[in-house]
Amino acid sequence: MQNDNKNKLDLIFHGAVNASGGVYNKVDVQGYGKINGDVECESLHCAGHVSITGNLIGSSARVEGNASIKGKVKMDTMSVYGQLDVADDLNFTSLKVGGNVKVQGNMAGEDVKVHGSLKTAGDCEAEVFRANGAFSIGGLLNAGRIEVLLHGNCEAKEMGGEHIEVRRTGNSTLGKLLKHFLNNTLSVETIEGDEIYLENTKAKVVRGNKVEIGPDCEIDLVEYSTECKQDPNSQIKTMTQR
Amino acid sequence: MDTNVISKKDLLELTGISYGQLYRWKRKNLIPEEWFIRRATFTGQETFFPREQILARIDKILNMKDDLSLDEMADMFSPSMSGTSLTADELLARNIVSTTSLEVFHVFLGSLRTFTFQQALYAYVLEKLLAAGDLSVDEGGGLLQVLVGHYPKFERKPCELIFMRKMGISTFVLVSGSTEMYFDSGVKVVTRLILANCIEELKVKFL
Repeated sequence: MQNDNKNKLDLIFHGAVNASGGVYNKVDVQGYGKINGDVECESLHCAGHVSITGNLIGSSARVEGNASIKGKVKMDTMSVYGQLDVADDLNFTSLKVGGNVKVQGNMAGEDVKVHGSLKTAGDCEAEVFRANGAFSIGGLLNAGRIEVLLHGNCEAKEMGGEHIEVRRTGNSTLGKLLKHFLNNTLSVETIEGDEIYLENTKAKVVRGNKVEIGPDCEIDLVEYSTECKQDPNSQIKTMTQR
Repeated sequence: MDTNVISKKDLLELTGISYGQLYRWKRKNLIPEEWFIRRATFTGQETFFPREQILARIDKILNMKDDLSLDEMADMFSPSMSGTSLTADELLARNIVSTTSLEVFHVFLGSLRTFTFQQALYAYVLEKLLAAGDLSVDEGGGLLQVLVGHYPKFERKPCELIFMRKMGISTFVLVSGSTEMYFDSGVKVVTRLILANCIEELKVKFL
């Protein structure tokens, strides 16, 4: 592996550079770079602005500036503190969103942490999905464990998994004062899971084995099989056991 | 209500699996994306599945769960070819082909010492049709020709083989997915084979 890397070149941008795609060891963008074609690299670091017209494949990427990729992205570990735009699918093992990530296709991986904002037009699949920021998922959010701490508005078309937990952030005085301005809610059509706990959630249907509806929820239909609890501050139109 | 599909709710009730398991299997690609059919109902959108296929698949997953990991099962259910290869003797020993169909195979495609998974699949499909009595030895050439010539173009996509006869003349067609097809009244459809099922059966025999 070490030898392999020695044979591969580094691609380092200082200033405005146009380069062609290919196989590189390290890609480091400090200025403004445009890469034509597919890029395969061990690591990508972008502190400036990079746009890639093809696919991006590699083992680690750190985006502190702005990166836009016209094709698919496949990376083991990714952390984004700036902005990342992906025009196709995004595949990863672990993804940390500190800034802003937009995906036009589907995204799939093991571990997702959202502290900034995440937007995808398609589905999002992961083993663990933790959000402490805002997200908008056009399709299905499917994860073994979904933990959401609401900051800003979050939305998804569908949510499904084993354990789903949605909580609002701490009850500070400032938070209470701003409650009417910052309406931190999760809007979703359907939530299905084995164990579900919800706060500040608007949903049409919630189905699960063990369902607990915490404060400030508006739900049209709740279906549960073993246990259901409801906070008096929540509205549920219909509740059935099956 | 359409009886060919089953709603997600009924499916879970019937099979006794949980939402979590269903979603985990979807994530692991044990259940293909195209089986999730979304339809509008009076309670909003609901998900339905092709009844026969999903029930058979869940039955298989539950039976194999103790012996295989989820990833191994995903590999087995995927319509892509695995890299393994077998010799002609091993194919015979594992009951994948009979000597008759192996001879037919050799007549049309030449003698092979080792079979790739893909070639083994063609031999297996030939064996299936010959053994069922649907196919004559002479027609084997047409079958192998369409498989060798066109099946690789489907890559990982689902594909069905249709074998039909009109006035004693046989024709083979490969179609993608669940295309609807209508023939004139002189056509007799002898058999339709979903090749993904054949791959699954063959993978079980490879294990």
